[in-house]
Amino acid sequence: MWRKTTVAKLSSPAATEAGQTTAQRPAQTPAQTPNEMPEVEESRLAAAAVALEKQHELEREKTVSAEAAVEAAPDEATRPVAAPLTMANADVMAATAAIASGRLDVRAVETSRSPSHVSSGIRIRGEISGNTDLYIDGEVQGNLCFGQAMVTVGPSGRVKADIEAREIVVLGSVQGTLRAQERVQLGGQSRVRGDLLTPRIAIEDGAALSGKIDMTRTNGVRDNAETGERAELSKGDAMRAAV
Amino acid sequence: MGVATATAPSKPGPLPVSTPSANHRVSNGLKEFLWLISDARGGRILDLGQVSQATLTFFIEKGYRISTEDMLRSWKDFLTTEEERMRHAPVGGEGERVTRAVLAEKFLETALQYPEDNFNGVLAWDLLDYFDAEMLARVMERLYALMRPGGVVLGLFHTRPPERFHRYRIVDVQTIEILPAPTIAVHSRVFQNREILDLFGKFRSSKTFVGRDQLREGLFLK
Repeated sequence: MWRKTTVAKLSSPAATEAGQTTAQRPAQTPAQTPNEMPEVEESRLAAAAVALEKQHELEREKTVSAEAAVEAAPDEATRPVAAPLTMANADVMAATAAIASGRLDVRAVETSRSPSHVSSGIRIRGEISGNTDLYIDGEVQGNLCFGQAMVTVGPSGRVKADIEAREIVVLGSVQGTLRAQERVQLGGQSRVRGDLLTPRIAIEDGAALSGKIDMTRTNGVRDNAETGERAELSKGDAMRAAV
Repeated sequence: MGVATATAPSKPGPLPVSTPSANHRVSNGLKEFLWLISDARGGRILDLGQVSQATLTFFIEKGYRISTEDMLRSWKDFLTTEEERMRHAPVGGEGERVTRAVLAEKFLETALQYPEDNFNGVLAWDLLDYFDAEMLARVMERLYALMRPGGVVLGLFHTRPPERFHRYRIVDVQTIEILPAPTIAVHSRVFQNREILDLFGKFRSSKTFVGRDQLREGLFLK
Protein backbone atom coordinates (compact mmCIF):
# COMPACT_ATOMS: atom_id res chain seq x y z
CA MET A 1 0.00 0.00 0.00
CA TRP A 2 2.64 2.64 1.04
CA ARG A 3 4.96 1.55 -1.70
CA LYS A 4 2.42 2.36 -4.36
CA THR A 5 1.80 5.80 -2.91
CA THR A 6 5.50 6.65 -2.74
CA VAL A 7 6.13 5.62 -6.33
CA ALA A 8 3.24 7.77 -7.48
CA LYS A 9 4.74 10.75 -5.68
CA LEU A 10 8.06 10.37 -7.41
CA SER A 11 6.85 9.62 -10.88
CA SER A 12 3.99 12.05 -11.17
CA PRO A 13 3.79 15.64 -10.06
CA ALA A 14 0.02 15.36 -10.14
CA ALA A 15 0.06 13.06 -7.19
CA THR A 16 -2.83 13.33 -4.84
CA GLU A 17 -2.55 15.60 -1.86
CA ALA A 18 -3.18 12.67 0.40
CA GLY A 19 -0.06 10.89 -0.75
CA GLN A 20 2.40 13.79 -0.40
CA THR A 21 4.54 14.96 2.44
CA THR A 22 4.99 18.68 3.08
CA ALA A 23 8.47 18.64 1.59
CA GLN A 24 7.25 17.11 -1.66
CA ARG A 25 4.06 19.04 -2.15
CA PRO A 26 4.27 21.34 -5.15
CA ALA A 27 3.60 25.01 -4.54
CA GLN A 28 1.28 25.29 -7.52
CA THR A 29 -2.39 24.45 -7.14
CA PRO A 30 -4.29 22.92 -8.72
CA ALA A 31 -2.09 20.05 -9.88
CA GLN A 32 -0.30 20.59 -13.18
CA THR A 33 0.14 18.27 -16.08
CA PRO A 34 3.66 17.60 -17.36
CA ASN A 35 3.13 20.01 -20.25
CA GLU A 36 2.41 22.80 -17.80
CA MET A 37 5.58 22.31 -15.78
CA PRO A 38 7.56 25.44 -14.96
CA GLU A 39 10.53 26.10 -17.21
CA VAL A 40 13.80 25.14 -15.56
CA GLU A 41 17.38 25.54 -16.76
CA GLU A 42 18.85 22.40 -18.26
CA SER A 43 21.59 22.17 -15.67
CA ARG A 44 19.11 22.38 -12.81
CA LEU A 45 16.85 19.93 -14.57
CA ALA A 46 19.70 17.46 -14.89
CA ALA A 47 20.66 17.89 -11.26
CA ALA A 48 17.09 17.32 -10.19
CA ALA A 49 16.86 14.24 -12.39
CA VAL A 50 19.95 12.78 -10.81
CA ALA A 51 18.60 13.54 -7.35
CA LEU A 52 15.34 11.87 -8.26
CA GLU A 53 17.13 8.79 -9.50
CA LYS A 54 18.99 8.58 -6.23
CA GLN A 55 15.69 9.00 -4.43
CA HIS A 56 14.33 6.09 -6.44
CA GLU A 57 17.30 3.96 -5.45
CA LEU A 58 16.79 4.92 -1.83
CA GLU A 59 13.14 4.00 -2.04
CA ARG A 60 13.97 0.67 -3.65
CA GLU A 61 16.38 -0.11 -0.86
CA LYS A 62 13.76 0.85 1.68
CA THR A 63 11.23 -1.32 -0.07
CA VAL A 64 13.47 -4.32 0.29
CA SER A 65 14.09 -3.64 3.94
CA ALA A 66 10.41 -2.81 4.51
CA GLU A 67 9.33 -6.10 3.00
CA ALA A 68 11.65 -7.85 5.36
CA ALA A 69 10.22 -5.81 8.20
CA VAL A 70 6.64 -6.65 7.21
CA GLU A 71 7.43 -10.26 7.63
CA ALA A 72 8.82 -9.56 11.09
CA ALA A 73 6.29 -6.96 12.36
CA PRO A 74 3.47 -6.15 9.91
CA ASP A 75 1.95 -3.22 11.89
CA GLU A 76 5.20 -1.23 12.27
CA ALA A 77 6.36 -1.58 8.69
CA THR A 78 3.22 -0.30 6.97
CA ARG A 79 3.84 3.36 7.97
CA PRO A 80 4.75 5.44 4.86
CA VAL A 81 8.33 6.67 4.86
CA ALA A 82 9.66 9.32 2.50
CA ALA A 83 13.09 10.87 2.49
CA PRO A 84 12.77 14.66 2.05
CA LEU A 85 13.91 16.09 -1.26
CA THR A 86 16.32 18.96 -1.03
CA MET A 87 15.83 20.23 -4.57
CA ALA A 88 13.46 23.08 -5.36
CA ASN A 89 9.96 21.85 -6.00
CA ALA A 90 9.87 23.36 -9.48
CA ASP A 91 13.08 21.51 -10.41
CA VAL A 92 11.77 18.21 -9.10
CA MET A 93 8.50 18.60 -10.90
CA ALA A 94 10.13 19.58 -14.15
CA ALA A 95 12.61 16.71 -13.95
CA THR A 96 9.87 14.24 -13.11
CA ALA A 97 7.83 15.44 -16.03
CA ALA A 98 10.81 15.31 -18.38
CA ILE A 99 11.65 11.76 -17.35
CA ALA A 100 8.01 10.67 -17.60
CA SER A 101 7.66 12.11 -21.08
CA GLY A 102 10.94 10.60 -22.21
CA ARG A 103 12.61 13.94 -22.82
CA LEU A 104 15.32 13.25 -20.27
CA ASP A 105 17.29 10.08 -19.77
CA VAL A 106 18.61 10.16 -16.24
CA ARG A 107 21.29 7.57 -17.03
CA ALA A 108 22.61 9.78 -19.81
CA VAL A 109 22.68 12.71 -17.43
CA GLU A 110 24.64 10.76 -14.86
CA THR A 111 27.08 9.52 -17.48
CA SER A 112 27.63 13.02 -18.81
CA ARG A 113 28.69 14.22 -15.36
CA SER A 114 31.56 11.82 -14.86
CA PRO A 115 34.70 13.11 -16.61
CA SER A 116 36.42 11.18 -19.34
CA HIS A 117 40.03 10.33 -18.62
CA VAL A 118 43.16 10.36 -20.70
CA SER A 119 45.34 8.45 -18.32
CA SER A 120 49.05 8.75 -17.79
CA GLY A 121 50.96 6.88 -20.50
CA ILE A 122 48.38 7.52 -23.21
CA ARG A 123 49.29 9.73 -26.18
CA ILE A 124 46.69 11.25 -28.43
CA ARG A 125 47.17 13.30 -31.57
CA GLY A 126 44.35 15.07 -33.29
CA GLU A 127 41.18 16.91 -32.43
CA ILE A 128 39.13 15.91 -29.42
CA SER A 129 35.71 17.38 -28.83
CA GLY A 130 32.75 16.61 -26.62
CA ASN A 131 30.33 17.77 -23.98
CA THR A 132 31.57 15.78 -21.02
CA ASP A 133 34.26 16.91 -18.66
CA LEU A 134 37.74 15.72 -19.58
CA TYR A 135 40.68 14.91 -17.34
CA ILE A 136 44.07 14.58 -19.03
CA ASP A 137 46.99 12.97 -17.31
CA GLY A 138 48.60 11.74 -20.51
CA GLU A 139 49.92 13.53 -23.59
CA VAL A 140 47.70 15.26 -26.09
CA GLN A 141 48.62 17.13 -29.26
CA GLY A 142 46.11 18.84 -31.47
CA ASN A 143 42.96 20.69 -30.47
CA LEU A 144 40.55 20.25 -27.59
CA CYS A 145 37.05 21.61 -28.03
CA PHE A 146 34.77 21.13 -25.04
CA GLY A 147 32.52 24.18 -25.21
CA GLN A 148 30.21 23.44 -22.28
CA ALA A 149 32.43 21.20 -20.21
CA MET A 150 35.47 21.41 -17.99
CA VAL A 151 38.92 20.34 -19.10
CA THR A 152 41.49 19.49 -16.45
CA VAL A 153 45.14 18.89 -17.26
CA GLY A 154 46.43 16.78 -14.39
CA PRO A 155 49.88 17.01 -12.80
CA SER A 156 51.28 14.48 -15.27
CA GLY A 157 49.37 15.92 -18.22
CA ARG A 158 51.32 17.30 -21.18
CA VAL A 159 49.20 19.12 -23.70
CA LYS A 160 50.31 20.81 -26.89
CA ALA A 161 46.99 22.04 -28.09
CA ASP A 162 44.57 24.91 -28.10
CA ILE A 163 41.90 24.23 -25.49
CA GLU A 164 38.38 25.59 -25.63
CA ALA A 165 36.05 24.81 -22.74
CA ARG A 166 33.69 26.24 -20.19
CA GLU A 167 36.33 25.93 -17.50
CA ILE A 168 39.99 24.97 -17.80
CA VAL A 169 42.13 23.78 -14.92
CA VAL A 170 45.86 23.28 -15.48
CA LEU A 171 47.98 21.39 -12.99
CA GLY A 172 50.52 20.12 -15.52
CA SER A 173 51.94 21.55 -18.71
CA VAL A 174 50.15 23.20 -21.60
CA GLN A 175 51.45 24.79 -24.76
CA GLY A 176 48.66 26.46 -26.63
CA THR A 177 45.87 28.97 -26.34
CA LEU A 178 43.41 28.51 -23.48
CA ARG A 179 39.95 29.86 -24.22
CA ALA A 180 37.46 29.47 -21.37
CA GLN A 181 33.91 30.70 -21.22
CA GLU A 182 33.93 30.97 -17.45
CA ARG A 183 37.31 30.48 -15.82
CA VAL A 184 40.92 29.41 -16.13
CA GLN A 185 42.72 28.06 -13.10
CA LEU A 186 46.47 27.49 -12.97
CA GLY A 187 47.85 25.29 -10.21
CA GLY A 188 51.07 25.94 -8.35
CA GLN A 189 53.06 23.47 -10.44
CA SER A 190 51.50 24.33 -13.78
CA ARG A 191 53.48 25.43 -16.82
CA VAL A 192 51.58 27.29 -19.49
CA ARG A 193 52.97 28.77 -22.67
CA GLY A 194 50.22 30.41 -24.65
CA ASP A 195 47.55 33.05 -24.51
CA LEU A 196 44.67 33.01 -22.05
CA LEU A 197 41.25 34.25 -23.07
CA THR A 198 38.85 34.10 -20.15
CA PRO A 199 36.61 36.32 -18.07
CA ARG A 200 38.10 35.02 -14.83
CA ILE A 201 41.46 33.62 -13.86
CA ALA A 202 42.89 32.05 -10.73
CA ILE A 203 46.63 31.56 -10.44
CA GLU A 204 48.32 29.81 -7.56
CA ASP A 205 51.76 30.89 -6.44
CA GLY A 206 54.43 28.96 -8.30
CA ALA A 207 52.60 28.74 -11.60
CA ALA A 208 54.62 29.63 -14.68
CA LEU A 209 52.88 31.48 -17.45
CA SER A 210 54.20 32.96 -20.65
CA GLY A 211 51.56 34.55 -22.77
CA LYS A 212 49.01 37.25 -23.24
CA ILE A 213 46.05 37.46 -20.91
CA ASP A 214 42.86 38.77 -22.41
CA MET A 215 40.13 39.21 -19.85
CA THR A 216 36.77 40.86 -19.76
CA ARG A 217 36.96 43.74 -17.34
CA THR A 218 35.11 42.89 -14.19
CA ASN A 219 35.66 46.19 -12.43
CA GLY A 220 35.32 49.38 -14.34
CA VAL A 221 35.91 51.58 -11.31
CA ARG A 222 39.00 53.70 -11.62
CA ASP A 223 41.34 54.32 -8.78
CA ASN A 224 40.21 57.65 -7.32
CA ALA A 225 43.63 58.45 -5.94
CA GLU A 226 45.16 58.00 -9.36
CA THR A 227 42.56 60.27 -10.93
CA GLY A 228 43.34 62.92 -8.34
CA GLU A 229 47.01 62.48 -9.01
CA ARG A 230 46.57 63.16 -12.69
CA ALA A 231 44.58 66.28 -12.06
CA GLU A 232 47.20 67.61 -9.71
CA LEU A 233 50.31 67.03 -11.78
CA SER A 234 51.38 68.10 -15.19
CA LYS A 235 52.50 65.14 -17.26
CA GLY A 236 56.17 64.44 -17.65
CA ASP A 237 57.53 66.79 -14.99
CA ALA A 238 59.13 64.12 -12.88
CA MET A 239 60.97 62.44 -15.71
CA ARG A 240 62.06 65.67 -17.34
CA ALA A 241 63.38 66.90 -14.03
CA ALA A 242 65.48 63.78 -13.81
CA VAL A 243 67.15 64.18 -17.17
CA MET B 1 70.60 61.10 -20.49
CA GLY B 2 71.35 61.14 -16.81
CA VAL B 3 70.44 59.44 -13.64
CA ALA B 4 68.89 61.31 -10.77
CA THR B 5 68.96 59.57 -7.45
CA ALA B 6 66.22 60.40 -5.00
CA THR B 7 65.08 58.87 -1.78
CA ALA B 8 61.56 60.29 -1.79
CA PRO B 9 60.11 62.11 -4.79
CA SER B 10 57.79 64.97 -4.10
CA LYS B 11 55.53 64.01 -6.98
CA PRO B 12 53.13 62.27 -7.42
CA GLY B 13 51.36 63.01 -4.18
CA PRO B 14 50.49 60.70 -1.33
CA LEU B 15 48.33 57.73 -2.19
CA PRO B 16 46.44 55.22 -0.07
CA VAL B 17 48.58 52.25 0.85
CA SER B 18 47.84 48.81 2.20
CA THR B 19 48.64 47.67 5.69
CA PRO B 20 52.42 47.38 5.84
CA SER B 21 54.07 44.06 6.53
CA ALA B 22 57.64 42.83 6.71
CA ASN B 23 57.64 41.93 3.02
CA HIS B 24 55.99 45.11 1.83
CA ARG B 25 58.12 47.80 0.29
CA VAL B 26 56.92 51.30 -0.46
CA SER B 27 57.93 51.76 -4.06
CA ASN B 28 58.40 55.22 -5.47
CA GLY B 29 59.45 53.58 -8.71
CA LEU B 30 56.12 51.81 -9.04
CA LYS B 31 54.23 54.98 -8.21
CA GLU B 32 55.96 56.88 -10.99
CA PHE B 33 55.74 53.95 -13.36
CA LEU B 34 51.95 53.95 -12.96
CA TRP B 35 51.85 57.67 -13.43
CA LEU B 36 53.90 57.50 -16.61
CA ILE B 37 51.67 54.86 -18.18
CA SER B 38 48.44 56.40 -16.98
CA ASP B 39 47.85 58.18 -20.30
CA ALA B 40 47.87 54.85 -22.07
CA ARG B 41 44.56 53.61 -20.74
CA GLY B 42 43.95 50.23 -22.33
CA GLY B 43 47.67 50.06 -23.02
CA ARG B 44 49.80 46.96 -22.85
CA ILE B 45 51.99 45.87 -19.98
CA LEU B 46 54.63 43.15 -20.09
CA ASP B 47 55.49 41.43 -16.82
CA LEU B 48 58.80 39.59 -17.03
CA GLY B 49 58.69 38.12 -13.54
CA GLN B 50 56.93 35.15 -12.07
CA VAL B 51 53.23 35.37 -12.74
CA SER B 52 51.19 36.76 -9.88
CA GLN B 53 47.44 36.87 -9.53
CA ALA B 54 47.66 40.11 -7.57
CA THR B 55 49.71 41.88 -10.22
CA LEU B 56 47.50 40.67 -13.05
CA THR B 57 44.36 41.73 -11.27
CA PHE B 58 45.88 45.10 -10.41
CA PHE B 59 46.49 46.00 -14.04
CA ILE B 60 43.42 44.36 -15.51
CA GLU B 61 41.15 46.23 -13.14
CA LYS B 62 42.79 49.45 -14.29
CA GLY B 63 41.96 48.56 -17.87
CA TYR B 64 45.38 47.50 -19.12
CA ARG B 65 46.12 44.47 -21.22
CA ILE B 66 48.84 42.42 -19.69
CA SER B 67 51.21 39.84 -21.06
CA THR B 68 53.44 37.83 -18.83
CA GLU B 69 56.63 35.99 -19.60
CA ASP B 70 58.51 34.26 -16.83
CA MET B 71 61.90 34.94 -18.38
CA LEU B 72 64.16 33.43 -15.77
CA ARG B 73 62.20 30.20 -15.57
CA SER B 74 62.08 29.97 -19.36
CA TRP B 75 65.83 30.60 -19.52
CA LYS B 76 66.49 27.95 -16.92
CA ASP B 77 64.25 25.43 -18.70
CA PHE B 78 65.96 26.26 -21.96
CA LEU B 79 69.43 25.73 -20.50
CA THR B 80 68.36 22.43 -18.96
CA THR B 81 67.00 21.23 -22.27
CA GLU B 82 70.11 22.32 -24.13
CA GLU B 83 72.35 20.65 -21.60
CA GLU B 84 70.42 17.43 -21.99
CA ARG B 85 70.59 17.68 -25.76
CA MET B 86 74.32 18.33 -25.75
CA ARG B 87 74.93 15.46 -23.38
CA HIS B 88 73.54 13.13 -26.00
CA ALA B 89 75.21 14.87 -28.92
CA PRO B 90 78.05 13.00 -30.65
CA VAL B 91 81.56 13.95 -29.52
CA GLY B 92 83.15 16.53 -31.83
CA GLY B 93 79.79 17.60 -33.12
CA GLU B 94 77.78 20.75 -32.63
CA GLY B 95 77.97 20.57 -28.85
CA GLU B 96 81.57 21.73 -28.65
CA ARG B 97 80.88 24.94 -30.56
CA VAL B 98 78.08 26.16 -28.32
CA THR B 99 78.86 29.44 -26.60
CA ARG B 100 76.84 31.67 -24.28
CA ALA B 101 76.18 33.99 -27.19
CA VAL B 102 74.84 31.14 -29.31
CA LEU B 103 72.63 30.00 -26.47
CA ALA B 104 71.28 33.50 -25.96
CA GLU B 105 70.50 33.85 -29.66
CA LYS B 106 68.75 30.51 -29.71
CA PHE B 107 66.74 31.28 -26.59
CA LEU B 108 65.50 34.55 -28.01
CA GLU B 109 64.25 32.77 -31.09
CA THR B 110 61.33 31.64 -28.95
CA ALA B 111 61.30 34.12 -26.06
CA LEU B 112 60.01 37.70 -26.08
CA GLN B 113 58.18 37.12 -29.31
CA TYR B 114 55.89 40.12 -29.56
CA PRO B 115 55.28 42.78 -32.21
CA GLU B 116 57.56 45.79 -32.13
CA ASP B 117 56.36 49.03 -30.49
CA ASN B 118 53.83 46.99 -28.55
CA PHE B 119 54.15 47.75 -24.85
CA ASN B 120 53.56 50.89 -22.84
CA GLY B 121 55.19 49.47 -19.76
CA VAL B 122 57.55 46.64 -18.86
CA LEU B 123 57.98 45.22 -15.37
CA ALA B 124 61.50 43.83 -15.40
CA TRP B 125 61.78 43.50 -11.61
CA ASP B 126 65.32 42.31 -10.77
CA LEU B 127 65.57 40.11 -13.84
CA LEU B 128 68.56 41.92 -15.32
CA ASP B 129 70.69 41.10 -12.28
CA TYR B 130 70.50 37.43 -13.20
CA PHE B 131 71.54 37.42 -16.85
CA ASP B 132 75.09 37.12 -18.10
CA ALA B 133 76.52 39.82 -20.34
CA GLU B 134 75.79 37.99 -23.62
CA MET B 135 72.17 37.44 -22.71
CA LEU B 136 71.73 40.87 -21.19
CA ALA B 137 72.75 42.77 -24.31
CA ARG B 138 70.36 40.80 -26.47
CA VAL B 139 67.46 41.08 -24.02
CA MET B 140 67.90 44.84 -23.78
CA GLU B 141 67.96 45.12 -27.56
CA ARG B 142 64.75 43.14 -27.81
CA LEU B 143 63.02 45.01 -25.00
CA TYR B 144 63.79 48.34 -26.59
CA ALA B 145 62.26 47.16 -29.84
CA LEU B 146 59.11 45.88 -28.14
CA MET B 147 58.34 49.14 -26.39
CA ARG B 148 56.36 52.01 -27.77
CA PRO B 149 57.95 55.45 -27.82
CA GLY B 150 57.20 56.91 -24.40
CA GLY B 151 57.02 53.43 -22.90
CA VAL B 152 58.70 52.86 -19.57
CA VAL B 153 60.63 50.03 -17.93
CA LEU B 154 60.58 49.47 -14.19
CA GLY B 155 63.69 47.61 -13.05
CA LEU B 156 65.10 46.66 -9.68
CA PHE B 157 68.83 46.34 -9.04
CA HIS B 158 70.43 44.89 -5.95
CA THR B 159 73.22 47.01 -4.51
CA ARG B 160 74.73 43.87 -2.99
CA PRO B 161 74.16 40.21 -3.83
CA PRO B 162 70.80 39.14 -2.40
CA GLU B 163 70.77 36.45 0.26
CA ARG B 164 68.08 34.57 -1.57
CA PHE B 165 65.84 34.55 -4.58
CA HIS B 166 62.66 36.63 -4.52
CA ARG B 167 59.55 37.18 -6.50
CA TYR B 168 57.59 40.39 -6.58
CA ARG B 169 53.98 41.36 -6.71
CA ILE B 170 52.08 44.60 -6.64
CA VAL B 171 50.00 45.22 -3.56
CA ASP B 172 48.73 48.68 -4.34
CA VAL B 173 49.71 51.80 -6.27
CA GLN B 174 52.88 52.35 -4.28
CA THR B 175 53.58 49.07 -2.53
CA ILE B 176 55.43 46.01 -3.77
CA GLU B 177 55.48 42.77 -1.88
CA ILE B 178 58.81 40.96 -1.94
CA LEU B 179 58.39 37.26 -1.32
CA PRO B 180 61.07 34.61 -0.84
CA ALA B 181 60.89 32.02 -3.60
CA PRO B 182 62.69 28.83 -4.62
CA THR B 183 65.88 29.73 -6.43
CA ILE B 184 65.54 29.69 -10.18
CA ALA B 185 68.81 31.37 -11.08
CA VAL B 186 72.01 32.50 -9.40
CA HIS B 187 72.53 36.23 -9.00
CA SER B 188 74.95 37.24 -11.74
CA ARG B 189 76.21 40.71 -10.94
CA VAL B 190 75.74 43.95 -9.02
CA PHE B 191 75.36 46.91 -11.35
CA GLN B 192 76.93 50.26 -10.64
CA ASN B 193 75.12 53.44 -11.66
CA ARG B 194 77.26 53.89 -14.74
CA GLU B 195 76.64 50.32 -15.85
CA ILE B 196 72.91 50.82 -15.53
CA LEU B 197 73.15 53.92 -17.69
CA ASP B 198 75.09 52.00 -20.30
CA LEU B 199 72.58 49.19 -20.20
CA PHE B 200 69.74 51.56 -21.00
CA GLY B 201 71.86 53.71 -23.28
CA LYS B 202 69.28 53.82 -26.06
CA PHE B 203 66.53 55.02 -23.76
CA ARG B 204 65.58 58.68 -23.61
CA SER B 205 65.76 59.25 -19.88
CA SER B 206 66.08 57.42 -16.63
CA LYS B 207 65.59 57.88 -12.94
CA THR B 208 66.53 55.76 -9.96
CA PHE B 209 65.51 55.52 -6.33
CA VAL B 210 67.68 53.91 -3.71
CA GLY B 211 65.98 52.33 -0.76
CA ARG B 212 67.36 51.34 2.60
CA ASP B 213 66.89 47.67 1.76
CA GLN B 214 69.79 47.57 -0.72
CA LEU B 215 67.41 47.64 -3.64
CA ARG B 216 67.63 50.33 -6.28
CA GLU B 217 64.58 51.04 -8.41
CA GLY B 218 65.01 52.38 -11.91
CA LEU B 219 62.62 53.90 -14.44
CA PHE B 220 63.71 54.07 -18.06
CA LEU B 221 61.74 55.96 -20.64
CA LYS B 222 61.97 55.15 -24.34
